[in-house]
Amino acid sequence: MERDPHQLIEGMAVGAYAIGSTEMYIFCRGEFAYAARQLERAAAEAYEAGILGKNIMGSGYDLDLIIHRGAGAYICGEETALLEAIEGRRGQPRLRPPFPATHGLFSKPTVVNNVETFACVPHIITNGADWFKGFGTEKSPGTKMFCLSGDVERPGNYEVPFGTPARDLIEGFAGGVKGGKKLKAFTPGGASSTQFFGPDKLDTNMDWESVMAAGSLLGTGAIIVFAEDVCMVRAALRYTRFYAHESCGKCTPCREGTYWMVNTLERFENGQGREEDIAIMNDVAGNIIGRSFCALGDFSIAPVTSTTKLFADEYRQHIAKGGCPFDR
Amino acid sequence: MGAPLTAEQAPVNLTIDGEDVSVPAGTLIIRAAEEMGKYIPRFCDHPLLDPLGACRQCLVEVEGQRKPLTACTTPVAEGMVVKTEFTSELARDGQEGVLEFLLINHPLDCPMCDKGGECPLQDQALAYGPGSSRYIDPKRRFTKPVPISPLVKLDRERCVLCARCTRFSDQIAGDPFIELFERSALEQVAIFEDEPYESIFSGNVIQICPVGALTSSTFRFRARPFDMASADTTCNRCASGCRITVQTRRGELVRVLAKDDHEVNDEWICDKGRFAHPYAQSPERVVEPLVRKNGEFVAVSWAEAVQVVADRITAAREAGKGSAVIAGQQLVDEDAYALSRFARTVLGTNDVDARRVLGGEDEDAVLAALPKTITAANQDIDTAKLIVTIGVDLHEESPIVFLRVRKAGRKGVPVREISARRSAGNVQGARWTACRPGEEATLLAGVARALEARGNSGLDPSTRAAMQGVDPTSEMQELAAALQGVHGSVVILVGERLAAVPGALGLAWNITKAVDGTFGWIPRKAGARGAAWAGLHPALLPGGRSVESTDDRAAFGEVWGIDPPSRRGRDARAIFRTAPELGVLLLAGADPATDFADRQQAARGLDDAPFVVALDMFLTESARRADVVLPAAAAYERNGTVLNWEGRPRPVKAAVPPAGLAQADYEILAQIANAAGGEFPQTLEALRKEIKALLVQPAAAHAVTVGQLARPSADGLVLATHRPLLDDGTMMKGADALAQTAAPVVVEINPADARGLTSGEPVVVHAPLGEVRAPVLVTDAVARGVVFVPAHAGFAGRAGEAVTVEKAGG
Repeated sequence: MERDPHQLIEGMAVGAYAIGSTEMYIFCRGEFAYAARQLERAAAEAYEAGILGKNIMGSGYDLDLIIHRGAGAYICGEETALLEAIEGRRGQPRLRPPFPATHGLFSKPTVVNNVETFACVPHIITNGADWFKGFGTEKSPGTKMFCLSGDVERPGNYEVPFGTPARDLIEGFAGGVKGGKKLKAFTPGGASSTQFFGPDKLDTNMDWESVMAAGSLLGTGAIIVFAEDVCMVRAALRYTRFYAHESCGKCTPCREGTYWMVNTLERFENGQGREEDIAIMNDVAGNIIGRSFCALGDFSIAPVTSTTKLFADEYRQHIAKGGCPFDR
Repeated sequence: MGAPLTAEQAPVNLTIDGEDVSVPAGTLIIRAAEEMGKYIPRFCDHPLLDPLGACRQCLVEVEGQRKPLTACTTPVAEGMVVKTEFTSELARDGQEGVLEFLLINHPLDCPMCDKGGECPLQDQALAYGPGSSRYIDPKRRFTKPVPISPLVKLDRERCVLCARCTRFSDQIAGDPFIELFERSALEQVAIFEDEPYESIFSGNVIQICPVGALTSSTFRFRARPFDMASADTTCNRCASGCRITVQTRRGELVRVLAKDDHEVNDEWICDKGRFAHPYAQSPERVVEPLVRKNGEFVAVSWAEAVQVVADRITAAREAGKGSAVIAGQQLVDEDAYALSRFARTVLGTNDVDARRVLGGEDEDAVLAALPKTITAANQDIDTAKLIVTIGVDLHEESPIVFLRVRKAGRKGVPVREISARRSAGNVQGARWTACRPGEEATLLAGVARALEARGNSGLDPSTRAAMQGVDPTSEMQELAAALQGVHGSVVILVGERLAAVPGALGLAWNITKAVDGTFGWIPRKAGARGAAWAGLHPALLPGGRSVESTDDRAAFGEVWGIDPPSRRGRDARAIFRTAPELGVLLLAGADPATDFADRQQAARGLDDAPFVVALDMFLTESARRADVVLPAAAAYERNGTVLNWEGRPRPVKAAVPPAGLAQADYEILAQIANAAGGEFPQTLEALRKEIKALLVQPAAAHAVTVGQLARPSADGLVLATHRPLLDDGTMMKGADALAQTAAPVVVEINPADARGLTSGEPVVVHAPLGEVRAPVLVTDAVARGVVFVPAHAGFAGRAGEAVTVEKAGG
């Protein structure tokens, strides 16, 4: 969106033409001001060049693009909440069915896809499907953008074929753990990974099937790296706070459950944690997953369930020490 | 609970907890379970609101599904195997988890919460919740309570965010002034800073709130649900005929609730019906019979008061002097009938009138036809393909009929409004045809002509005569096309006010018949349809029978033992004009010195009449001028029946004993009749027996005679006026919080007529009978050439009169 917005616009235009739509929207999160400005500029250029608008390149086909800037809510990444927000309402997920494919934006059939998906389209059209399938694995063909962040020497976005081992990404492209420290954990698929990975999972191939076989989800492909001196309780707290803040408030389990987990994690950090809280938090998590309205609730429990499973010791250290044992 | 299931859908077979059940396709699991008498707990679900799936309390297990599903959002499917909390560990576990979540932030203040004792959350926690909580951290805190209107207080800590209130306001009432704000655990119900929660339906959000988050400012801390006695009765504040539950504590009226009746009011009532009950227990009530002695009212016994009145009746009869009756429109049917019978058999007169609007020949014909004709019912609105309202603002004048029309509009049914002022009611897809007061008859004549031009051959000769010389405008053509296009599926709802425009009511009736639609007469007051049935009208006897028809009169000899007078009586205006010659003038629940457009004439007539008897609850402007005032029971204090606008009989049941020595009107009339030496039915049963003998089987509509059309209104500005729902009437006494929600009095004028006036500026409106000063509102919601003044502005004026508006000096 920031560096090469035209491949996104082109991909969307191809998609729109394929389904016979004359209207496209890019929903850009409110905080991403630079990306939105770039997109607006690119859209203006496309109109100028006659690639968008009335009678595109003399084809008789009309197509409009609207860049919609959100008001800053993570939930608007959920496709039906996104549609609600574009329609001018609160960004809260809709009841399904009906699904967007039949009743989407303004009750019209709608295709909703990620930026990354559309950005692949022009290349597939140009080079053919076989070329695209030449990358990656059989079940995860093509390439994937991985976003390396956290305690690495060279954070950034790296596009590699699916199936590239995590070690190549973290130790190779990203230059390894910052300051030569040891790796404690990483997320294979961003905050919404259902399970954090420890160093033993470094050789996992980063494709849908391998990550799932290793017990987590590839998700957004955001690999967040934690060095040995990171407090995993605090990490869980930060993540859970994010989810509690971003929970739209519509359904009870997500709204109240994340609030409860945050309060409990805060107590651990403040030295008020109790042994039974570990079990209670997991129980609370169990009452959220599968019972919330949308997937945000389901994913919100991963930091708690992962860290209590992999790093239960750290929780106990918090209890024993009466506070956080890490000084970083 | 549970809206009726629609039967036309194909049945689907499934099992719930191992029991077979068959329900129409599309039914939600929660409704299917209700059909079997199984209650799945819920907070956000409400059968009349769109499914939401937010609270997650209704989780059930469906075989083949990995996760538990919400019963309130999942439609049934053939062969589905559903297990509720009674048979499924997964469902029970899910429900317990959700309940625990709902309670972590819920204050433990049940002992001081108004909802305590009738709270679904309390019931659920008591039945399934653990004895103590695992949650030990601080609860979410908010400032509380927050008044979101003068009637409703919000406690955000108790709120479970079920969104029933916001959905009600958006989906049912169309007043989306409350919304959910913020997100996460800080999500909350709130109102916009610059737009207060203004809705005439606001009380319903209190009733459907599943916790004590929304409470009534008038009921707060006054009684416990289990300490109250309840009586189910019918609201008498308008002609909608809503079922209500009146609750009392130690004889004190404390609360009115909507009672479910899906054929009439669904589960809703308006704020007037809910909050305007304090008048009945006002210290200003007349609680003893009063007789004027040496110019002053003196409290006397019933025996003495009745004798005084009976003696005057006998004396008038012996002196050959005529007597007359002016009735109110809030009487129950049995009272109206007793009064009509009393006038004809005891006073020997047809000088009886209950109308506030005096119409032409066509009004008599329509009123005579109503009891004999199958007219529109709520279900016709539900199935209509087009709804037309003429000369009625349903939102203000019959709010629950408005909700039904709004429900139809929400389904996509076109709604057309023909009026001088566009209703403030928010109906999706409504289209307004502006019509200056007085010109409705011309407009309808044009529509009739356009209908005939489109090949409609159903118009009767009197309509065809009336429409000659009217050239249909494009607007009339378009209305005719709309009507003709839905032949057989149109409902035409006409306001009582339309009678003031001769020909309009008759044309509306005949056009409805010509397009094979159903006609609905929407009077303003609860007792108007009953009064019309009872013949509280100078030309009509009970059952729409004519005083001038020998055949019609013959029905009464047998029932009454006496023939009614055969000469047409005089209307209210003529009665007051000849007041000095009257023997006895009887007022029953009527206050013409306040309510009549020409109130000066009424007051003069009351002053000039030699002997006035008033049956009333209060010393009104009119009762003050009487010689005898007899205390009448309020609607909450007596039994009876009211016909609502549909003509549907609705039971009225006493919730409290009458104030002081007050009695029901029929009881008072029976005593006077006896003392004056006549037979008269003494009980409700005896009255009902007579009414039953006089009932007429309703049949398909016959055309009525339209007669002479009203002449078009004068050029220049003309007055439009009607009473808003929340006025300054007697029965608003004591309802102070409710009165605060009433719209301020403003004079409304179209921008094209504003001539330099700006909204907010004080103006004075001059009308033939008086003037009014108020701020002006320049709005395109009134037709061009029209000035709208609400009828409670302390101002006497008749719709269609020429008026002038100017800046108020100094």
